[in-house]
Amino acid sequence: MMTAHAVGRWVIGAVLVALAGCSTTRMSGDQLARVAKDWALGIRASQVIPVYPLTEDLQPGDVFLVETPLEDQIKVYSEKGFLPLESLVVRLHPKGYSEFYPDWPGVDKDKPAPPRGWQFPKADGDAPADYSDAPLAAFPTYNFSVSRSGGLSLALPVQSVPVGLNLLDTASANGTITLKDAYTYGLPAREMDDAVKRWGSESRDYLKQYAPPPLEPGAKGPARSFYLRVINRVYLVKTVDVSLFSNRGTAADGSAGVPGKVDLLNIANDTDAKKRFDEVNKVLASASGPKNATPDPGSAAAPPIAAGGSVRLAMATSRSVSMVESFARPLVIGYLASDYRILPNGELGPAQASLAKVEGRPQLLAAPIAYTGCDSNCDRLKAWLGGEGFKEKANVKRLTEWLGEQPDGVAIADMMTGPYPDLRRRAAVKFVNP
Amino acid sequence: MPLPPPSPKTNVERDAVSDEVAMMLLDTSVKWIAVVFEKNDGATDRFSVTPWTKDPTAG
Repeated sequence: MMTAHAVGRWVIGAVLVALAGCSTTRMSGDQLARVAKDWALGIRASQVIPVYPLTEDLQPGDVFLVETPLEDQIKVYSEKGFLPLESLVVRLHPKGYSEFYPDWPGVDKDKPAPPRGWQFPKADGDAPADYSDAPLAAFPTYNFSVSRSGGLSLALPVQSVPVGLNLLDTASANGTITLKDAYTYGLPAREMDDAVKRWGSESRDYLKQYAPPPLEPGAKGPARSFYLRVINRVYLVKTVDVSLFSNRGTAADGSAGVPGKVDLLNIANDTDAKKRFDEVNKVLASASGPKNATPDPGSAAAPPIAAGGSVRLAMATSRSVSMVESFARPLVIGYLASDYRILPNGELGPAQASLAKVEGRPQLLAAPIAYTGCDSNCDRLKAWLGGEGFKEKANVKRLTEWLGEQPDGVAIADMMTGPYPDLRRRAAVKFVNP
Repeated sequence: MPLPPPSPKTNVERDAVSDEVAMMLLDTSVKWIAVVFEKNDGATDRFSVTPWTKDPTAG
């Protein structure tokens, strides 16, 4: 039987080892990439594009420049599990929350637009965040397996997992993660579209530099395009519950000089469970909190750690631990967005749903246009292109290249029978009746 | 400048469908084309002709 003093020492030792396991500085690049991907895969299952790392500073109206060609985006999304948000171009402040959330408590024309009123209920920022009025969201529980042989590269950007794994003193475990206190807010794509198009027309000169570059002679593959990714909805989480279930013998088993398996936190067997819980949480608090933080002796909650969060032990037995990690304010874990292709002359193309696009789901290539029939210029061009079947391939190539040089150039099919009579006339003059 | 792929087209009369399909296929990125009956306007059948660069049945 271990004395209370020895138990206390073991608790502190275990927690310090656990906290050491939180460090990511020793992780290899591959491990870090895997952390990001596994987390992202869980969030993606909920039809949301994951954010990694979690951040508070992302909101509807944020516009990012996406330089990666679509095919590469799909590849990056598949490999990493998330899309890096690198180049923030502008933060739009679209109106319309009060119309989109009519009579919603706290959302009013006269009040700051979300999320400011929830983040900082008082203007001076003194009051704690209060998201109780924000629209709720719910995520499924995610299951995961973790092995210490993998180097504690836990696939979740929360600190509870390595802490729990070390408290269990196990080499491997299965676990569940529950995203609690989840919220969401956003604006309809139509509202955002107006704001983006308005900004785009005012920023034409800026956008021109991202117009599609001319294709190099002999270049193969699709042309490089630039997109604006416009966030229109975000998902936030304040609390993460992590439960870990040991599925093997303890790592300490059979190790000389290391204490054997200790039924440390089994409340069924120990009347001192509360005391030990408090002891663990106190160590978690002092070891993970800021240096000047003073834990409240009457509270088992830990002071802030990552992103202003705290980790607290909620339940434990000899083979399982449950931990609660709370952030000081909810953090964005995912978003929905629309992509706008930057066209020649810096104009913006129609909005496309980012999620469908990066998942490779088929989308309409553009908004439908009305068939206007084949007029006289169309007839002449058609004959010049070889008539039925368009067999004059050299002329098809010349026409394609000429259209590519026009500021209002469109595909041959659109030019011939779509609402482009002036472009059609210019093409006929150029090639058929010079 | 690279051209955008062709747009879907509505209200295409029956006799013009084959030409529309042939013109859309001049863009080598177009792999699939859906031809869907829209209506009969009293004189002829009208169709929508929709090009895709990806398999639209895979989504």
